[in-house]
Amino acid sequence: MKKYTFLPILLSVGCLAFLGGEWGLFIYPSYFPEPAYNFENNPLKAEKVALGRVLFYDPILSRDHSTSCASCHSPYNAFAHTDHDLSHGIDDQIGTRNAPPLFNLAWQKSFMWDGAINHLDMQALAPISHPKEMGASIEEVVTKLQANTTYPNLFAKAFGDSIVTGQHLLQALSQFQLTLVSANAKYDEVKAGLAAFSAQEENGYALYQRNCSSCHTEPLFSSYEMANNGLPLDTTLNDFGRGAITKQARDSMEFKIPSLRNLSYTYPYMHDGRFRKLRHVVQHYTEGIQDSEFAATDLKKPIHLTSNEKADLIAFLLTLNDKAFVFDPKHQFPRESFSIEK
Amino acid sequence: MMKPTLLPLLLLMCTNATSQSKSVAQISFVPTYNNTPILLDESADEGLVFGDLTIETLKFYVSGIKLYQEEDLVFALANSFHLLDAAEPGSFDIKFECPDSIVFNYIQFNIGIDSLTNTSGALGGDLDPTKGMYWTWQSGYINFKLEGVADRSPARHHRFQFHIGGYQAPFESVQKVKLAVKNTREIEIQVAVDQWLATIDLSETYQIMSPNAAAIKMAQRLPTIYSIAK
Ligand code: HEC
Ligand code: HEC
Repeated sequence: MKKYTFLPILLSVGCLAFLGGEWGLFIYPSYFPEPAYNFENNPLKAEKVALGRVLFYDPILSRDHSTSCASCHSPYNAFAHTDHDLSHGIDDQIGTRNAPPLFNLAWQKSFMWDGAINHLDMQALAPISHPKEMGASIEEVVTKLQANTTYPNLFAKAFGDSIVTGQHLLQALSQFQLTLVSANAKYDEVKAGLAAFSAQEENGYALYQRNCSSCHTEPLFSSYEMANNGLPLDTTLNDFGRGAITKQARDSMEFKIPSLRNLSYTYPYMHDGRFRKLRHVVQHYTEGIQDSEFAATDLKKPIHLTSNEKADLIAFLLTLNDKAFVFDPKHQFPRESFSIEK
Repeated sequence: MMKPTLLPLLLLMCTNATSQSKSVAQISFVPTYNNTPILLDESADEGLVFGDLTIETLKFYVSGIKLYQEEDLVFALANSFHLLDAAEPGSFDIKFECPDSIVFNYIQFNIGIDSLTNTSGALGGDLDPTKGMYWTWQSGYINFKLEGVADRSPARHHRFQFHIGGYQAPFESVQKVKLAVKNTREIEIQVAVDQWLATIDLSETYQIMSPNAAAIKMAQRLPTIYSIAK
């Protein structure tokens, strides 16, 4: 039964309000809001998505051909980096933040834990040029791709021009990432009337709605706004999040609210991966909130949960795991393309 | 009755539009240091020396070029985003087709890139992020870039680096410039870089690389160094 629910969900909820380009590349349920991504400037096309996928998995984007996007964003972890609290890049260097999962990016208005990036297209510039991530530059990457025997062809198929440009490279990476839509968890089946929550999940859902939904808003399970959720500062990192970007005291310790989808695949949690278990996260919200002048008002009033309620809340969170997404072969390493050359 | 008259009218309008005579006009920017043009082509591989100061990089965006007759907009360049790079002297001449009939007495343009363009994703041409004018770790174009060496700078190797940009309040750095100009088809605008550096003390201010209060101050002083040369 389970395995075949994907199509019925989409059909039953009258799927996609909006295509974003060619039919079938970008599908989402009707209870999702309108995407934030401006598809008019970069309409989806199968060849562009395919090129973006090859690029995403190709270490050619790093200085020494050691690190690809997928090195830190693995499909089996909903494109996060499981086990590493801080990300791990070129020359085995450790970054300062946890690699976030990548899904439902079309609905995000800003990117990175501190929202420093204003558009999905421009995001890839950061890892490509970060000395601790891929250690290259976009100029270098464009030159390497142009000199490669395969890529000019793939760019020609995708963009009608074999000249590799920064714009086309970035747009192709966006195209692949935009197709990473996660909307097939048990929660979605319940929404579509194809499944029902257990009593425990139902109770957890109510607790979530009461305590968490103002920030982790349905159906994406994030409003994708910035908030200070009361984490104490880790003084070994001194990461002030949004405050370091805007240089305004009120933004200090604000981070982008992450989605609660796929949590089983994306541990450890928070911008610095400080919590390994959901239990620890829930404990933070019930016992660990650090009050400060600028902490979110929603969290000023303590959250009290009994141990049964904590278990119920976690049971509900697990209904947001989207196995079909995590194991979708369309998103995985493009074996076909990598046998061509290299 | 209305319908039959519409077609000839349309045709008339079309032929009118195509027969409107146009010729090539040119706006040239001439960056100078103490009135000496700053050219950083192959002949100036190591930079250009002006006494105890060497200029190695000068790049800036000009966008949204418009011509006005007093307050009335009479002509706007289409898709007007121009990266001017002292290492590529050709980039300083902006050529465009200008209707012969228009008369103007002001030119207006932006130094830098507006916030809408800054948030529109990956763009091409002069706006391509491979041009070295886009920040990587935080979104946004660098509007004006000046780099070099000065004895006074206490930085490593006495370098100074100004990457002036930022599009988000309160650090919006794009600057509008409006200059009175003769109604000619060859406009030359001098950019007196020395005057800009004269507003700061390089022994104290020698590196600005992100949108912040210091960058905004520097950006606000840019319009005054642009003037009509002819
Ligand atoms: C060395 C590990 C590493 C590599 C390689 C890497 N990333 Fe990331 N990625 C991260 C980290 C860490 C963050 C969070 C950074 C921050 O918040 O400052 C991130 C953030 C992102 C985000 C923002 C997600 C969000 O929700 O805001 C996207 C999109 C992304 N990466 C895509 C890519 C792409 C595309 C590539 C390849 C061009 C790539 N990453 C390569 C570690 C990596
Ligand atoms: C005021 C807004 C707000 C509320 C309310 C809130 N959160 Fe969060 N949540 C955040 C922010 C912001 C982060 C990221 C913080 C960071 O990494 O510094 C976060 C992170 C998380 C994470 C980590 C996700 C990841 O991928 O790393 C989980 C899990 C989580 N919250 C669960 C909950 C639960 C459960 C509740 C309700 C009990 C809740 N949150 C209430 C704002 C909020």
